[in-house]
Amino acid sequence: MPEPKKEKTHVTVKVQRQHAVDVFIRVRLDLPLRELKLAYCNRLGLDCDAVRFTYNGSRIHDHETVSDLKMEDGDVVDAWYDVLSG
Amino acid sequence: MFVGVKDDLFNNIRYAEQQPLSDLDQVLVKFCFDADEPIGYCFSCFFDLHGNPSEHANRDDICCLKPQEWIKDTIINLVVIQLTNQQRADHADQCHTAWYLPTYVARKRLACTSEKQSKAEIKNIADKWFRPDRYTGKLLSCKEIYMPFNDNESHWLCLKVDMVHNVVYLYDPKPDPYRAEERITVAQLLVKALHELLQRKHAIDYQASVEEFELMELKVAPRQKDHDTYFPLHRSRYCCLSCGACTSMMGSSYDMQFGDIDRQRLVLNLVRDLHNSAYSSVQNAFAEYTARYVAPEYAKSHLLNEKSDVYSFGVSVFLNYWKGSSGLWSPG
Repeated sequence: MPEPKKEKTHVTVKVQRQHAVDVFIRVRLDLPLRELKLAYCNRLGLDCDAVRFTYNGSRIHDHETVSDLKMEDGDVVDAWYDVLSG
Repeated sequence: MFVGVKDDLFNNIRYAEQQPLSDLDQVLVKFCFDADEPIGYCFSCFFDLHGNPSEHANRDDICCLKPQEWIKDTIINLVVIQLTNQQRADHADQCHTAWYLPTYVARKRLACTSEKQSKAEIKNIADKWFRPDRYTGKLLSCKEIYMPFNDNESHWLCLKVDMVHNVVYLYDPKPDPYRAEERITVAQLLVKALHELLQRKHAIDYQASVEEFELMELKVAPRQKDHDTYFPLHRSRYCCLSCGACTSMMGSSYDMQFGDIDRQRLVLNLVRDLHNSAYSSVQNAFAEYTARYVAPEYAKSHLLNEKSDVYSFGVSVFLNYWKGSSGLWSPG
């Protein structure tokens, strides 16, 4: 008897940032993406408030989840550090 | 050939009325800038682009509009969304005449180091930002494209592509002889990128080649004040609203020099924008904030007399002693 197909619970997204190595992060579907941001910033030793994340050109809000944004495996999340200029 | 073309970028700018802000506005600005308030989500602007929340700023971001602070790109992107929404409201059916691009577009392109990488990136940019439900519309109705970009992480500039007269203007609010050549090179790179983007996204309608437009620097344009002529990087910190981009695009109050009061107006403008979906929560927080200064009987009965003034005065004197800072707002 074939095993029932497992329901997908995680996706792996790629986080890209200028002048930095790409980081792959596995996220649970129903986890608020704040966790993704924290995981990324912890790994690279960044200040989480100074980094912004966009998916498909819009900012990711802390409370949104992977399933809200309909992310799929291999999707790219852009990380940006703040640029201050005169 | 371009005799008839005026530097019309600033023609439609309304000059600032020199009236000071009203008392309530000043308190609201003070509230926005108050670092003693908890930073973050009790104060934020969530901007919706076509109904989707697409950018937000918290108090930390807004604080960069304080006098003589450098401008963050978040602010520019908020203004970009504000203007795009305005365009959508004025021109139905994606036929808006001006396209405003967020700073991300230029940043993505400028981060590329190789030809191959830039090809992949162009596709990416086109998919993310050049969509009718994002920042662009139908190319046939497009008359101008604005593209803010950053030079050397120290200065905001703006490109304006005039699709009617086939000219590209470079607006630099603070020309710097040491970096002039470099800025032109960057501008050319971006024009080329725009050409590729349009080719990719609007292959059928795209007739005139942006790449072949003449690149001109805007000679008659507002400049930043010159506070310090010693060190270019430091100097460029002063004044300026951001990004010639922002100012020129705002079309709102603009003095020849973008002063502190204009920054305050910009804050009010952003906070009170129709598409700021967090406005009601800001209002609540603001009501709480001002409630500390009013006499309790006013809060109850909405009746004012001279005694309530004495109460408010007492609160500010108390704050002065307690926190060492004046509770009263003094501009600048």
